Amino acid sequence: MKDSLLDVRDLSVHFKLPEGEMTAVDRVSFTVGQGEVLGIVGESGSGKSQILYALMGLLASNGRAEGQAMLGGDDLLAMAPTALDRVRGAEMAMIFQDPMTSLNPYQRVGEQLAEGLIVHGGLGRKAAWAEAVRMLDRVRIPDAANRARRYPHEFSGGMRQRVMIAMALLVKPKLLLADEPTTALDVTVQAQVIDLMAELARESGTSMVFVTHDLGVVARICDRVAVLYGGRIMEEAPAPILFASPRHPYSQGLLHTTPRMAAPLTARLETIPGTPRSGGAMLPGCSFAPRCTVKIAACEITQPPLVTITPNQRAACHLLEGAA
Amino acid sequence: MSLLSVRNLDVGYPIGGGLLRKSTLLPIVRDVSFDLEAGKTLGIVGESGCGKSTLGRAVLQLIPPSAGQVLWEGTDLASLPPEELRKRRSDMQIIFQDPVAALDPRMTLGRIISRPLAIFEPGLGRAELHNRAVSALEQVGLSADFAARYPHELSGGQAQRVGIARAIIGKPKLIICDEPVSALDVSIQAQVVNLLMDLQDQMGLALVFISHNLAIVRHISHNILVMCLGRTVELANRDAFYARPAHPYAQALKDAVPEPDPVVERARLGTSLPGEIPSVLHPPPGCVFATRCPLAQARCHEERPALRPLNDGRLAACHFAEG
Repeated sequence: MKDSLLDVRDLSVHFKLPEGEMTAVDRVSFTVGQGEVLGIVGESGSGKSQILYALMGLLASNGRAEGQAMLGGDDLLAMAPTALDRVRGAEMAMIFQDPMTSLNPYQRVGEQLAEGLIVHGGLGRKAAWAEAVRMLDRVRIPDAANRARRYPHEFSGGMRQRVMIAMALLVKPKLLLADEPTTALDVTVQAQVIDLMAELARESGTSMVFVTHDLGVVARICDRVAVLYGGRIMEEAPAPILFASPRHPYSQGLLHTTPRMAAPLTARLETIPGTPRSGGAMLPGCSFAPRCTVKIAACEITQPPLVTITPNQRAACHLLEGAA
Repeated sequence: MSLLSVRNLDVGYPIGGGLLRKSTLLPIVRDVSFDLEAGKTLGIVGESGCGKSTLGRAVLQLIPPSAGQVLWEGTDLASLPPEELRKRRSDMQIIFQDPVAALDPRMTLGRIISRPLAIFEPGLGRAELHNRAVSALEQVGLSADFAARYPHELSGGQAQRVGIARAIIGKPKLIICDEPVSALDVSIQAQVVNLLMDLQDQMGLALVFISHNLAIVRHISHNILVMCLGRTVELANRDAFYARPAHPYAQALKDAVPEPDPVVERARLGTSLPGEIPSVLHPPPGCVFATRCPLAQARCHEERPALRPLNDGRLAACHFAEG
């Protein structure tokens, strides 16, 4: 296995709400290797985005992160805000789902790009602008020199997301955090953006954490996958293994319920019964037990540990404990 | 006679008008025709801005078409006096992409669901309205106690079920489904698609299923209409279409949908369609797809291909398509 760049241990995220404390992420551990793309896949309420927000120090003001997240020699969760500012932008960057609300509508796109280089790269205004134009060209913005002088509203959705990618990769971060970066885009544009991210990451050796709800997107870009449900990791494996032989009932359900065009048609789509978890207290047993069709008595009483099934595959299910 | 026949429909939005200046019509849907039989589903697919939602609304006369006809059981809806049109509306319903926004937050679900009945059958008493709302709830898989709840208490999937209950309570013949599962979680999308298919079987419903997700459309549709910049580029039956789309745009759209299979997807990495979706304000003069088409020839940039029948009976608007 490649050397790990990011090492997250027992990350929990809690939110203070009027009705008490709500746990969005519950003791999640994972690593991201040098140049590796880790997919975190889950439905709404799984806590997948909150993991990224916690790493970036961007949790809402009523949120609190616990645990450890080592990037290089630094624990991101224990850093003082000024120290974190130096890491964010320089060592790690984030792209968000909605590219429009992530760009300043009153500032030319080129200026927004150049700002990172001036702050983190120590470049002068002119050199930073030239570099910004070069990067826009790199993410295939047509007529980049002129486009850099335009404002975000003059760009299409796909172009805006490419601008965000340019901005994130401009300072050559070691780690890129991507929060559903293609969900708001058309499928044709999504394919372009994924191609671009894969190509740039490969060239620069940037590691990526790619959060999505779409298993198809995971299959296209991710090396390894963590399946999240109700704030906990249900299963983790290299992508080829997870798709070929998922072991957790939730991963299996998610894979079977995703329609695929290559498969023979069936009278009805396979479903996972019930509704994704929304808020409320963490369950004493498995997060997925309320929707699981193969659960046993233990599933609602004790939380199954994440056990190693094969050297590369871990899953948290009582039914698999004997198999370990 | 088809339940619904759309003939050469044009729909446009007025732009650029002012106090003393006349507005011009920006064409959004151009020259679209299709037939839909009772009990069948037409899937309409295309990228954002292709006019698929506008087409759905124009069929229901929620947006007035600027040319062409919408024939409902042979009658041109535009020719009907408003009162006559209103009566037919109980036969044609719509469900929306954002299921929570489609529900009035201050009404109970029971009242939301029974509104169409209260309008179309004004003689019904409160108890009867309630009973019918409860049975509609049960038809969509929700328990009777939902009738007393409010929209903010619902998950996205439950809200879409309520939207469907409201649509079916008046026993319609057609439901326009405008991206009904796009905003839902993957595990809930399948539940809602199955529910629509069940209701279609039970009630003989015709469905227009508008979506950008070709994998889901495949499951529910009998025929597929592919739109690009307001025009039909292909109209085919489901099996022929998915075996091999005839139009290069339809093929590109199909290839862009990621399959949950790393072997397939790794091979596709780096093969995405280059270029930008052209603006509806400045559509290309020739084929609507020519600027992005990997197979485009000089002719495609100059001459718009007509929608023509291919050997296997499907329609495609491409100079070079073969059926």
